[in-house]
Order: sequence, then structure tokens, then C-alpha cells
Amino acid sequence: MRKRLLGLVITAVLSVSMLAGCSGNGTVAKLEDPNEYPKDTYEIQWYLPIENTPSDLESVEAELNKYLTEKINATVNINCMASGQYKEKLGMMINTGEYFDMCFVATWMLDYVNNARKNVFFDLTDHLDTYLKDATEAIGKENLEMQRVDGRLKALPVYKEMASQYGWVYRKDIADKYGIDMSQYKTFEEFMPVAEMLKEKEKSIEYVVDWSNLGTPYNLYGLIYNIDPSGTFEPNKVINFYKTDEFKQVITIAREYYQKGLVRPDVLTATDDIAKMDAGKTFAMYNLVKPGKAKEMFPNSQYDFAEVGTANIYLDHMAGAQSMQAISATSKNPARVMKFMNLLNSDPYVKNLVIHGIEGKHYEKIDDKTIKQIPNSGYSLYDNTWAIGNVFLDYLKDDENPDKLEILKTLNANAIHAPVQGYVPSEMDNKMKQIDLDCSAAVDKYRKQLITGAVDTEPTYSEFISTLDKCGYDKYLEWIQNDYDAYLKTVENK
Amino acid sequence: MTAGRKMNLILNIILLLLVALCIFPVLLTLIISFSSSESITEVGYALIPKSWSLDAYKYIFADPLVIGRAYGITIFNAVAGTVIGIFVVSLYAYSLTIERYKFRKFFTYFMLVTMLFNGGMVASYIVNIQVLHLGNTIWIMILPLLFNAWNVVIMRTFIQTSVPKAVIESAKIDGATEWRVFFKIVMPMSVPGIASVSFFILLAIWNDWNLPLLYITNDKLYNLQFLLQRIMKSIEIIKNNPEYAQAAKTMTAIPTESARMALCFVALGPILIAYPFFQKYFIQGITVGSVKG
Repeated sequence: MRKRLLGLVITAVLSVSMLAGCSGNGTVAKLEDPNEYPKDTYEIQWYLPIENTPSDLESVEAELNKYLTEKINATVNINCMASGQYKEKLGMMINTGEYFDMCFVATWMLDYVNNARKNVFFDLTDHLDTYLKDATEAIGKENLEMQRVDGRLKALPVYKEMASQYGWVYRKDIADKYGIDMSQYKTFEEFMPVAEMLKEKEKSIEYVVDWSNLGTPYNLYGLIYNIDPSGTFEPNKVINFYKTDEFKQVITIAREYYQKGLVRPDVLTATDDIAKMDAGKTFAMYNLVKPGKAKEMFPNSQYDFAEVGTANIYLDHMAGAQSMQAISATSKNPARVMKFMNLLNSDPYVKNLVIHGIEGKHYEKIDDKTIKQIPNSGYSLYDNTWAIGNVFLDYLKDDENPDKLEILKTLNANAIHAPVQGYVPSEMDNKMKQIDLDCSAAVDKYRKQLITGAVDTEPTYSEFISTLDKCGYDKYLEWIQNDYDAYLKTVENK
Repeated sequence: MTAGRKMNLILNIILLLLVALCIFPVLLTLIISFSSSESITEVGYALIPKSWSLDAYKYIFADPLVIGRAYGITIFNAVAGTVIGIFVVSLYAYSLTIERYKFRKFFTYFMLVTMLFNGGMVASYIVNIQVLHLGNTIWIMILPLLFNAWNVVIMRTFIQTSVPKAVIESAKIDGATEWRVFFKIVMPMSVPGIASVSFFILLAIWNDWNLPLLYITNDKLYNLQFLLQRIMKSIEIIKNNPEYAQAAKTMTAIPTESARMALCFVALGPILIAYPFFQKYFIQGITVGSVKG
């Protein structure tokens, strides 16, 4: 009797939790009419990774809700969390099918590609011309092609700069003193004599170059074709980048810098690169640059910094997937959330209210496109605008370059496109997945040591290559090649 | 005699070294929290920094409301949790010592199963949020830590060995009810056990940051350890995604090394003070409790 009772209790507990687990999923009702004003109010639960929650969030929400109620009969509740918590909490909410409406997602946050495959996000592909019409127009159809997973768009990218250029961020006062024109040093080989000269003469710096944030010579080649660890993509062929002469060259020059003491000795483990440079201890970093980068990195430094782009401008891999907003599959009214998403990406009033707050309370308007923040007003999400929505709607701050948005647009327009930038490997079977994991582990273990120049090149390099071979890297590349060919066909057909 | 003395001296030196090993990290943390950030970037961690500064503490206490509230939450959790926890644990433990209790065996196994298996994070998350609706309440930081099978085992063994059955029986003969026996006889006679178990519960609640990480999104309910952990987690993300740090300019929002150490010290303080009060009972409680575990 007792045993049977126990069994009953366990069954009951299990079935309750199973029901609870399922209740969130799969109940998407028929979507409401995109053009009609809905009768009932809906509250949108929106989650954002914000390091410090602004203290006056409530008044901005109230103001936003007044406008949204009028427009689409919805209200928004903004939930801010520090990025560390955001990752854990949202990951858990997604895994357990908990209800929420909208959240920030990226390839590096909440694992966009895999979660998109698991259908945890609402599929936006078929609604671009209806609910998301204005947003699609503002962003441009071609920019929505780059972040598809298996051909479906599961999140709306934040429209911002989508291309990257590497270049130097350096101390301008020293460069002026010795008459160095950094824009002419396109490779580390060319820069070497200058670096040696500076190490000799300039005693105020500790290291000439700091690449502990991985601004290594590797990036000169890495950005062009490489998607780690999938191999390198020459126009239509997948090759093993680690076996090329370029890679050998990359690690040799890095080692040479290291041995000559031109980079810091603890380059493999150091994390204070920005603080060191801020304190004037480093001459230059090889970094992703854009106009105004140095000012952005070192706003309060007593030294004079400048940046210059030297490499070609390439469109990012999965451009846009670095920062997106997704609708949860557990949302009770995805249509209303899409309407809000549409406004956020096309209506300057909504976007600027979210990032700058209320006019007169949190900022003063100087002219049409420029504002002045009121200090200690308790609200500004402007530092997070890149995560929220279309940055080309933003009012700029008075101390920013007024042409910033134009410059970003030119950057996007000038970027070099390649089909590989939209390629995401399809789902692998278990055997392939294991090879993928093994290879990734090998790459994680050896690559950083090699490209920073911190270890002896020869033994480590051969060890690396033999480990890759042992893991079945050739099979892996073959698989990627087939998959990539199939992908290229779908691109051509479009 | 001299041999014994020599031995004594050697032992003392070894123990002193051990003490130094324990104190050194704490001391270093304290010193770093008082170092200026220039000193840290220039010479790194040092026992005697180039220059001292109170900036870290100024940073932490710049918004006294935040840290004050976190302190309040942590102290409430710790006190309420310890009181309720000790009640739950000793009631459970006591009932397992009564031989004529019908479900004794069942509840023993019921408890032991939790020592060996648990439902995992996802399952408990679903139950806590969707069935019990404990998300964003203060109870989620207290209730899951109240009951711990290991604590019950210690407590049960302690009661079994240090409260003679004859005493309980005599109380019964005098007409005491079960509750009276428990509160007037069993509880007072097992103070050392209670002290050590309550210290375990106190530490568990005081040091917990995992529950707020998953269940609390209202920043008014953040506890002290979580404030610290939040910074560490964010640093980890930034370290793994340098592009993100550059896009977000988040580096400026992260406090300096010294501020982190200061926060660590602020969170450490009260428990350091509480420890000696428990210590008196501590050793006795555990050794007696663990003999026939």
C-alpha cells in the first residue's frame, strides 16, 4: 500500500512538472490584423542586457506606454539585467519554455544559431512585408539576408555598422614626436623597424604593441576569409588555413615581436590591455577601428590617442547577427510585439525615447538631430543603442562627430561582400559534431599560444597540425565543402 | 623534556606558517582594496602599494542605498533562514530519532535520496517559477536552502547521542506533550549541534549568489554576494567577447580591481565577526554529530 502511494505521488509530481514544462510552447493563436487597432491592451515583457539599470526607468516606460497605447494598444515593461545575469537567466527561461516576449540575442549571446534551430524564437521570415514593413524598409531587404539560419530569419538585426576594418589605435603625441605616419604600415613586417626604434628611444612606454586582446598579426588574414573553425574559404574552395604559408608567416612574425620584447611578456594571459594603454604604457594596438574609435576607447585619458584604418573593409560574417532583437516563441501575442519592433526600428520618437529618455527631463534638444544630456538625470541607454534598434534613427550627443551616422553608412556601402559572409554550416550529424568539437578544442588549445607568439613556434605548430589531423580535420573540411557548395547554389538561385 | 620542547617549537612554527597562509590572501585583498588604481596598473598587486586611496570604497558607497539595501536583504535572509532552517532541520531530525514513529523509515530514505540524486537546475527552475511562483520574491533566496540532508544527519546523530532516552521518557511520565518535550528538553540539550548546523545554514545563505542570479530580476531584491558576482560574471563575458566590450564601451561601467576587492571585503566582514561566537560549539557539535553518521 505504502509503495503504491509513493508511486502515485511520484507520478503526480512528474506529470505536473511535465505539464508546466509544456504549457509555454506551441500555443500561437491566429495573428491579429496588421493594420487594425486592436481592442485589448497587451503588455510586452522586454529583456535587455544593461550593465547598470537606469534609476528613472519607470517614468520613461510610462511615457513610452502612453504613445504605444495610442498607436498599437500595447505597453512595454523593460527588464534590465547585467550581461552576466542576462546570459544565465534568459538561457534558463528559454530552456524551460518560460513566457517572455522580446529579448536581445546575438551569435555570442544566447547562442542565436542553435536556438534559432530549436525554434525558441518566433519566425519573422513571412512577416517582413506586413507587420515589419516599415522596419524592413528602414533596414533594407538586402541587410536581412545575412543572418538567416537554414534560410529563416528568427530575429531582427539592429541596423548599424555591419562592416569591420582593422587598423591602428596609437598614442598620437609619440607618433608626432618621431614623425611616424601610422597609416602607411599595413603589416607588422613593415612596422617592425619603427617598433624597434621606439623600444630603443621612447622610455615612457613599457611595450610598443599590446595584442593581449588578440589584435595580433593573425587578424590581417583572419578577417578576410576565415570562419573558425570551419576552415578558410577561398572564393569557392574550403582550405585548411592552418596549413597555409600565410599562417606560418603570421606566427613567425608574432614570435619575432615577442622575442624582441616588442609586445609584453605576459601577452597570453594579460587582461588589462585597455587600462595599460589608458595609462600611456603602450604605444599602439591593432584593433577594429572606425572614426572616433580612440575617443570612444579612452574618453578620460590624459594622453592623446588617434586611430587609422589600414586593412580592407570587409562585411562581417553574418553581419547584423552580432546584435539582434528576437521575439520569443512563448509570446502570447507575437503580432503585437512585431508591431512594437516595427516602431522601434522605424519611428525616431520611439527609438530616441528608449535610448535618451524624455525631452526636457533627461535631455535637451539642440537641433533636429542633436541633443545634450542632462547630467545625473537618472536615464540614458545611449551606450546600449547598438543593442536596441536601428541606430540611424538616433539623435546624436553634442560632443559626437555630427557626421557619425553618414560615416557609418559609407563604411557599410564600401565594404567588400563575399558569399561566405552569409554562410552558416547546416546542422551536423553526431559523428560530424564530435569531429567539430575535437577540432574546436584543438584550435582553442593551440591557436592563441601560436598567434600571440608566446610559445616556441616550431614544436607547438607541428603538435597543433598533428592534433588537427588526428581529430579528422580533413573529413571535417570535406563535409564543410559539400555543405558550402549546397549553400552557394541556394545563393545563386535567388 | 627538551625533545618534547623542540617538537613543540617545530609544531608551532608549522602552525604559524599555516595561519600565515590563511591570513595572507585576506590581507592582500584588504590592501588592494585600499590601493590606488594607478598603483595597480603600474606595479600590480603589492603588499605596500605606491599610493593609497579610498576611491574603491567611495565608489561602492557612492550610492549607499544600493549597498545598504543589499545588506538588508542578505541579513534578513540569513537571520530568517537560519531561524526557520534550524527549526525545520531539528524537527525532522528529532522525529527520525523516535523509534515508535511509524514513517521513520520512509522519511529517512526520503531524505537520503536527496543526498544522492537531485532533479537538476532546469527541473527545479520550472517548479519554483511555474508551479510555486517564487520568482522575484525574497523567499526564493531562503526556502531552497532551508533543508539539507547532511545537516539533518548531523542533527539526528547529535540528538541520538546526547539526549538520553530516559530523560525524554521521564518528561513523558510527568505529562509533557510532544511539543513540550521537543522545546524544553531536546532543544536545550542539543545546543552545540544546533549551533553548528545553524552556522552551516547561515554560511550557505550568506554566500549564495546562484539563486538571485536565476530567480531575481528586480534590482531592489539583489543580495550582497550577487552584487559582487554580477560584476565578476560581466567581466567574464567581456573577456570572452572583446568585440562586445568595444561595441558596448562596457569597460568603463565595470569597477576597477580595487573596487572589486573592496566589495569582496564588505561582503566578508560580518561573517568574520560572527564566526568566533559559533566556534565555541562548533568542534563539539560536528565531532559528536559525526561519530555514528
